[in-house]
Amino acid sequence: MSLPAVAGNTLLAADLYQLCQPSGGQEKGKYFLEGNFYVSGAYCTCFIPSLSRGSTPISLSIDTADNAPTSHLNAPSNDHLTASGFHIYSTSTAISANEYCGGNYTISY
Amino acid sequence: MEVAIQSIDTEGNLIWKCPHWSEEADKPCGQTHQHHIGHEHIQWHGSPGTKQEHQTVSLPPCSACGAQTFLKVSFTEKELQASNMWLAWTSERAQALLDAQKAYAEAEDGTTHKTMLQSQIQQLQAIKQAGGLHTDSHAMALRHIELARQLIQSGKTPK
Repeated sequence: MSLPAVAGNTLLAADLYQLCQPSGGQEKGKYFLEGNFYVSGAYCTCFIPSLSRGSTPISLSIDTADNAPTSHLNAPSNDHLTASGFHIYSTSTAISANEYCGGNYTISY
Repeated sequence: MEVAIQSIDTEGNLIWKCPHWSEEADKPCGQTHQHHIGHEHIQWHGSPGTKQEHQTVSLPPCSACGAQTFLKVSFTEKELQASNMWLAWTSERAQALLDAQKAYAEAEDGTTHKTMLQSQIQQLQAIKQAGGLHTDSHAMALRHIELARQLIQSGKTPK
């Protein structure tokens, strides 16, 4: 993506698409979940706002490439996938502190 | 178009491509998979209290990149009319139709160019008559809705 830093530069369509993805477009980013768990089965969650607004997403893919889930944390899951972003969450398998996971996400439009 | 579900048949057989970008990659994974909706990893997902329309359906983790894809399977009418789902008839497309008609009138009879212009004009006139055009994303959303319907019919119900 090129950002116009000087008055008179052309704003490219590719720049504007990131704010309202077209059909077939994809938005990529990072997420990180961390929490302390007072009981097994407790939730840690985070809402990730998308850059794109107005376009309807059709799918979300996530990996844990940056941090695999720590020993008492299940693999992350997702709901509330909307034009504003998505909700990502995970559950603990024990009473534990400082459990975390993180990686890349791809929203497809 | 880099999207997940390529096809779903009436028996619940899915063919899908992984749409995930890893950080280092310069293109999506694109690994093709084939699964039946009875697969253990094809499940509804939603945190406690999440309504059915906000839940997603997971696909099995990708064997190539390890990412897991979650599908939006419920869409409101407004979501199905978003700018990536529906291309409305605009003044730009009206001008494109006028330009094509002008070029058609000037083109030499019997040429491939004139035949292609005729095809283009017919397509534009059909879009104009319909008021717009559904995109590939809209077709994908309908496949996701069908997936959800088959899942519920098979006994895999939302949380």
